Amino acid sequence: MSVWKRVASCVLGLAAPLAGCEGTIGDPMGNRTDRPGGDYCASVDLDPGRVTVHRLNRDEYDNTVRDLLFEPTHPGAALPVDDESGDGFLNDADVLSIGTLLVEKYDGVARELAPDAVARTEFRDAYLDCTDGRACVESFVRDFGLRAFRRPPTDTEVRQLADLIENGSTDGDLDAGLELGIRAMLLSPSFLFRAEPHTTDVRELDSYEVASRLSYFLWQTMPDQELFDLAAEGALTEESTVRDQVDRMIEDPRFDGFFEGFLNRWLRVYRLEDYTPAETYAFDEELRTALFAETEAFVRHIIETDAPLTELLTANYSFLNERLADHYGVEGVSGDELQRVTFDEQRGGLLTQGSILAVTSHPNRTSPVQRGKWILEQLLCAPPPDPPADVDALLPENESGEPLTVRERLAEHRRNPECAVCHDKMDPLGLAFENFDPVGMWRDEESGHEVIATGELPDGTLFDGALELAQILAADEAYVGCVTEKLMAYSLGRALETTDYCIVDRVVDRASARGGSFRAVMEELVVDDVFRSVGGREEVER
Amino acid sequence: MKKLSRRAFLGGAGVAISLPMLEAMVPIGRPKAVAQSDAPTRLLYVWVPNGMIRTGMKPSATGRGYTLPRQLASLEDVQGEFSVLSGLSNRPGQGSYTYPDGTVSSDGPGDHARDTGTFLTCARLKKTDGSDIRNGISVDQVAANYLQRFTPAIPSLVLATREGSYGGDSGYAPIYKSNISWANATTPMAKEASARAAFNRLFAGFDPTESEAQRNLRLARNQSVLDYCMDDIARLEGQLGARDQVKLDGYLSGIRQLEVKLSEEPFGMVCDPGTAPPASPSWTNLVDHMFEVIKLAFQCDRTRVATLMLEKPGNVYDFLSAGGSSISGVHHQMSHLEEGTNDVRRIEAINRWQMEQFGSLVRRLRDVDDGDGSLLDNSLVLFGGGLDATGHDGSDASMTPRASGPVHRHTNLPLFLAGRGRGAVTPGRHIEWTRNEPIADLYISMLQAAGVPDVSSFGIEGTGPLSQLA
Repeated sequence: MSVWKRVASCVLGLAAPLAGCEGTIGDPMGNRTDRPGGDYCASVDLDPGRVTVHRLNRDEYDNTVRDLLFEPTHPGAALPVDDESGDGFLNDADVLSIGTLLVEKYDGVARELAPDAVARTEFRDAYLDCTDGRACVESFVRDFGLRAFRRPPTDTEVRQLADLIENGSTDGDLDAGLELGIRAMLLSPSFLFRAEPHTTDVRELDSYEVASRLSYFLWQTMPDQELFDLAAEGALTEESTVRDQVDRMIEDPRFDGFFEGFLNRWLRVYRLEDYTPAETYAFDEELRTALFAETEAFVRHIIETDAPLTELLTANYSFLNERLADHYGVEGVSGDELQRVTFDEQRGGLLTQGSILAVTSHPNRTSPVQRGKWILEQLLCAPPPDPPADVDALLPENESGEPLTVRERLAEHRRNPECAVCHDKMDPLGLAFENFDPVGMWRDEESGHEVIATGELPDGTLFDGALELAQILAADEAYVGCVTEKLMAYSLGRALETTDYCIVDRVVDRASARGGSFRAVMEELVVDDVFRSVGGREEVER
Repeated sequence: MKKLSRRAFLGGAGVAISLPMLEAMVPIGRPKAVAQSDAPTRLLYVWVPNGMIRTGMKPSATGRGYTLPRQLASLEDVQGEFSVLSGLSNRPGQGSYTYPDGTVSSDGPGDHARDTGTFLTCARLKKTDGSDIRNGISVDQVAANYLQRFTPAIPSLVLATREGSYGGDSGYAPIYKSNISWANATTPMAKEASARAAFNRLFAGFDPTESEAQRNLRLARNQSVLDYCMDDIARLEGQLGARDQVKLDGYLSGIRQLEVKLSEEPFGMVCDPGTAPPASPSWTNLVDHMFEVIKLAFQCDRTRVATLMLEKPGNVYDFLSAGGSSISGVHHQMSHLEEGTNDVRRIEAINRWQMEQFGSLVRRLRDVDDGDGSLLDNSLVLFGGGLDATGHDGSDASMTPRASGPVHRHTNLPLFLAGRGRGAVTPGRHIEWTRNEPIADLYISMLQAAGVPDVSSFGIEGTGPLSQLA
């Protein structure tokens, strides 16, 4: 089934009726119209597209030198923070620019890393099993170069680097030469960029290229020994091997990189880092840490247990420590460690986690508009259109002076028909969460009035509160497609183009056939042609 | 020519020793011909987010001797050092824009992305959240491309008080809202958000005890690294497509620039930069440290062009108070005057704080002797924002902030110009233009004052220097 059909027929009609509001609200790309319709997918050649040469971002750099040089510090901190893509990810190759400041910084960092590495026992054990001579230097370049470049160095590279190291070994001091060689490699484009050489036609990626795609997608770092070994055998062109590797990589501690690079950005939870609610709300560093940890532990559990994607929204459990349990009003949890807790009522699933409730709030009040927008953008990939220019995008105050609830203020705001056309559809989504304050604590009253969390969807479906809404969202077909889109954009490090939505569709179909789990989507994505081949599509005109 | 300090500057640790004043002690990088002429003109651009409310900021009279409006009260002692600029516009930042040739472009909302992105480029942003970013070169980079012949190691400083992305806006990629300085249409200049790192970049790395032989060896080693990288890039270029080439061009120009910098370390430089700022100062202290770094860079002639993003749109100014309570809201949200007069008071408090920073910057540059005048006399400092956030409508002549004012305009920009640019500009006035003269014309004037040759246009609308500045 095409993506277009999927959206148009979406069961409970969240996304499609929104299209009726001014703009193109049902369009997953917001104001853009590149989502295909009709028989489009059957009529085009679904080539995998091209990814612009991909500079390592700050986190990838940090993790890579950790694994390459056994570097215990975080030298990436000295690099400028990268720009984000429209999706909010920090690994979009087109946005990862490079210029004079960055090259200078890379040079400065490499100068510090190289001598430290050469002096490190683990480094010498890994790459040096001899002490002098041309053969020794060349063997070092081959071993270290394989890992630094994530592919075997060419003979020319080996020769040039060996010359450089020998010439740099002033007065026979090999270490001085090695430092210089490492510096050169760390500053070279073969290290700093992931390049997938272009051909005119679509080509299958080679095993080394697949190894890097997998490791940067799932780990935010370079491939490990097993991936390099498989690459040397050419085994990563086989689907079954790739599937096995995904299973293995998910169990690995480096899988933390996935949560940092993908999950926190997709869910916008990274914004917790500098979220400062007004002083009236109980918030401290311990709570901030626990909120981060809850969401990560919860999603990790969903992935590890191969649970269906719907459970992400509907699970009746989560993982809390004492501080967070107190915050949520849950009894029986003690200590700093997270424990699995089953909820009776009030909470369940991602949407009632304090992390997300907080990052979609203003410091001094909840924002049902932001919460509704978050659902549309992050879960349904159907961002609302921008408000028309020159309307008052604000909540009116009560002229009589009696405090109004946020719900009442929003209702007043919707009296303007220009606003109502969209907000009639957006606001109910966010208002379902009014029982949760700006830091995610449960509340029965707001501004002195009992909270009303009921609402009606565009198609007339009624719901009461966050848990009922979560059930409705989980059943919406747009949801699984949206998660797949987000994963695909992140895994490839590029924005999706029109034909990509057809690919999303076939990944969803395959993942659904095997249970529709988060993990199934990840796995079906990496075995798809889009992930394991490259090229074909015309260049965008610059 | 008199120099700034008799102490030889030593670098990273900020150690300095006294040396006798020698004729030859001019900063490296300044050719003798230039060194013997007057001190150079430096250009500095400081941007503040979300625009400013001009009520209480715009003087009622023009010319000299105007009465300082209440929002500028903190600038009394430096009133003669800057001018208030009223009536300039940057219309390519508008949602709907008619090009000079009559073409109409309607991009809808996104005024914050356009505020930041176009402030120094005066170009039309391509509304995209993805792969086809398009802006224009920014004025500071036009200046740097020329002035780098005098300061080849550091063509310009691109600074910010906050690192990273400042977020997207209504379909504009975050890259637009996060960068004022652009190397070209597709690539912003990475911004440095650590005063310490900026300081070290300017001044670290020079060892006065190094012998000639040691220096030659060090340079040869550096060169071998760079040579390898250039070979590698050449190999890669052959394998990749057109879009990759753009990325690799950025890398290659970075390597070439690094080559210049590494071979021109401040050997024999005469200037005392003092000690490096702390690694993580409090944010308000960071602003002072950033000003100091800019001052030192100019004073020691390490660069002649700098930009500073003084905060991001989403900042919280909870150390300020308005109406007796601390300001807990987010600047951007308040800037839409959502809560009416409450927000107006808060925004005005933030604007007063911004103007206090401007005053501190002006005093800092004024107090440095630059040979033939103060450093401020030999600089042009533009301070302000790319939006008129007053919240009034066009018929509201008194500019009273309304209880609701979501509209951010790209006309009547809040701008302040300090310094004399070595005589090109006469400060101490309120200058008003009445025909929405483009800020691009101001940039042409500033480029000309800095000696950049053959500047007759800039951005979409700049066609010549601005009147009334001299």
